[in-house]
Amino acid sequence: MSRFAKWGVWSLSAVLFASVLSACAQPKGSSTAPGASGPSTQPTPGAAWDGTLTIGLPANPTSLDPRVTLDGIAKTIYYNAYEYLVVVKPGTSADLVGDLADSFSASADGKQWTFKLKSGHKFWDGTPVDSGAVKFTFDSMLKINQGPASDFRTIKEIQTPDAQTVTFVLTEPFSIFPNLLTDIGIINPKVMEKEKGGDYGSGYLAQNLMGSGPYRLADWKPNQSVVLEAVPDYWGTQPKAKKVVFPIFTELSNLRLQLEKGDLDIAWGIPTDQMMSMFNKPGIKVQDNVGFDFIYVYLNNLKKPLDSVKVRQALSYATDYDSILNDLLQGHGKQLKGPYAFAAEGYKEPTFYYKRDLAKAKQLLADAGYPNGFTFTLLYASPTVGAAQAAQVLQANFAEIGVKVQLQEIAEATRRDRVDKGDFEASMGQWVKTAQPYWTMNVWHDSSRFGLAGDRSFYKNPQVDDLLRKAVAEMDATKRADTYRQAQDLIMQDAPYIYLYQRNSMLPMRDSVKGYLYNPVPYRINLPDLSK
Amino acid sequence: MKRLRYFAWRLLALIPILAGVTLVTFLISHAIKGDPARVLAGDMADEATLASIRRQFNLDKPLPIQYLTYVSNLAHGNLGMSYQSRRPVAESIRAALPATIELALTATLFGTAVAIPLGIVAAVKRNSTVDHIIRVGSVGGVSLPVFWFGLVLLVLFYRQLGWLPAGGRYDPRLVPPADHTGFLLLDSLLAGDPGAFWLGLKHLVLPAFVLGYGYMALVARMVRSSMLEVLSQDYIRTARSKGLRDGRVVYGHALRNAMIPTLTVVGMGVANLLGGAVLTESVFGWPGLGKLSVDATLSLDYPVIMAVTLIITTAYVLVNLVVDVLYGILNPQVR
Repeated sequence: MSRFAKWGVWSLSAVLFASVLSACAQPKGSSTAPGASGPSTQPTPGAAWDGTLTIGLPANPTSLDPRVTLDGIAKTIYYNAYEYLVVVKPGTSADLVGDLADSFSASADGKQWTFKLKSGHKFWDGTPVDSGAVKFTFDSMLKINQGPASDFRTIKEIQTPDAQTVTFVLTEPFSIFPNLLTDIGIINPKVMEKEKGGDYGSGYLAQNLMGSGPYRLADWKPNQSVVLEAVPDYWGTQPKAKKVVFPIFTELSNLRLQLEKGDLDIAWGIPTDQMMSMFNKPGIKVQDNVGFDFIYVYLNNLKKPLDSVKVRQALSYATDYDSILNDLLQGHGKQLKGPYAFAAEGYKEPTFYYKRDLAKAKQLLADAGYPNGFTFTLLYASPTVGAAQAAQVLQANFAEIGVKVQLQEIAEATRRDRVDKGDFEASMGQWVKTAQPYWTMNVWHDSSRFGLAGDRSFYKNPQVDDLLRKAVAEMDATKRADTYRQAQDLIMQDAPYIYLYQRNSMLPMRDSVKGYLYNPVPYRINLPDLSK
Repeated sequence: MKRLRYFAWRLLALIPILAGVTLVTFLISHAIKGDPARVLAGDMADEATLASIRRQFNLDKPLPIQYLTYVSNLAHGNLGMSYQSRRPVAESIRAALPATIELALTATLFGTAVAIPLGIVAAVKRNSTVDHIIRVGSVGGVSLPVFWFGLVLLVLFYRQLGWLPAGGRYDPRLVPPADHTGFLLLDSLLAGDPGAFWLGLKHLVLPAFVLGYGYMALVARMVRSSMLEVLSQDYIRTARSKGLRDGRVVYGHALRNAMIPTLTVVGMGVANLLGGAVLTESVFGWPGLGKLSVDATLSLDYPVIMAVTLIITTAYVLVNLVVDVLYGILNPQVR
């Protein structure tokens, strides 16, 4: 090696070593070197609040277009940039209040829903938010026909008799129609100026926001961070936080570390097992509320021996619900005592639900012709929260009645594909939605929805189908709840799934965060009232 | 001239290699059970919705047609559109590639700069305490799981000491320097912003160290064993018997020859660092190709999977070519 190369190697080592030392020696939070431009100065901890909130997210958002995306992270980002016809009243689980809508009502047959819009709401460019914008949003969503569009297949036509009135004409009575509207932000129709190849501006809105909410997009660096800023000269009330930064984390332990250290104000997406340790951390409070996040087991009702009602009942009796709740969730959740979820609209404690009873389970197995048990495979995939742990508990539980469970972890895309095609015996499942019984009653059990569409156990009971369809068409909330309860009684006897638990919504944040009000719609954080 | 022709051939060979890689990646990624249309449309989508998405993304055509369309687009420089982000794939690559190169280069520089002196010292001081320490450190570097090692360093340097940031490429609350090259350190120098440079460097230290440590260990072990082999050769004995100083023998005669096998390890190491930083990028939230490919695989985002694979393959081939050039320089026999 030449003298030059030798010198090069050593001087490079020296430079790198010096760089590392200097970088380490630079105290955290200090201002940058002289001559640095303003923006690269780090915020000083302990100083007066500069109006910035930092909320850690567990993944990069996909498309930000409310007409297209199903991604929870994207919804968290765009929620405060748009307004909705109606929203769930913060602090309640299912009460709807008008956001853009001043009032709303249904025709007697439940086929027409009319919304009267508030006046004075404006998009960021000053254009009024009128019935035309509402019609544009929903019409273009149905034309694009992706993501949430499938929830709105009952829309036959949207009428706009005047600028402040919009009427949705449906093909069939749909009592919970307004509940679906909490998901769709109303878009400025001027997005059509950005249209490319007949995409109704969805390419543009994948990376941009065009709403009438108090925040707009300031910056988005994929896989790094998203920044929202308060809309200047906003027509409504100015939000307290002028800037909301969402750093994106891929390693969730790191998310937790940063919250503990105080570099994050709120951490969204900390895994359940790590969440439990957050409850006693100094400087951190966990917002612990009833959530609509369900963990259950799909039992394929078309596959032997799970096609036997007695076998399914036996498995439901063999499940140790208390152990799962206490060990995995440490009490931060509730047993799912049936598909009519706790705190859902019209909920009442059911008269019958499964509790652990091994003697009964063994008897049922024997009656079904399996006195020595049988073997089946239970699929699970890592994105299902707590699936691996719950599956292991179930394996141990079922072994006690002689049923051998082979656990098989597979890729989520494969698991979903197999569930859709019915190519499985049993699978762990998770469902995150709102407090409407429609989702866990109709969608999980209506036999017209075999596969991923909702009836993932391939369960069919014509009597249940009739009751569920009658319930969703019923405009009277009390009668609707009664009908759902009748359906639930039948469903529980058939035990098409093992209903495990309903996980609380747990959101850890620094003690210094003020003004948090729980939004029961998953993935929503009401930003305008938050401050420090 | 002869050598130039050789390199031109090697570059031309890249075309069939890449064609083969596109075919294999295409087949493997499409063999995964799962329907991208379903991922996009959601669980409750009906068949009509799924069909419309398949049509939009060309997924309704037979596989050979899909492949040919992809290759034809590729030939026109079009990497396609990501199913998930709805951005052009080229745009995602443009954002992720410089981050990965910045990380991999720093890791390589650090690893090589430390590994070569360590390997030499270990060989020259064979079986001494220093040699044992270096060997144990090297074994640690090769065997430490990245996610564990990364987290331990984070706890130490971020949480306990507060010297270094926890992850990411820059403080998300701050505005980074204008993006001219995609390389943050370079951009901050171009912007004349030493504060941004330091901040960028502080973010780079831990991931580069973790990524470079395993590589460093590998190279140090290689340098040590090559040096030991060379030092036992007759010409070294001759050099010593001529009365040459130890330093002259080691650096002037032995090192150059010991570098020849080391170069292969360095080359493969660099290519590995470019393509294999998945875990390091995940632990430190580094927005590079590794992270991009993991997300794409989980969501069956075929165009992104294909693009990342192509880039990594190209990197491997080019790095090998550079190694060949350097081989020629170091060893006249292969010229």
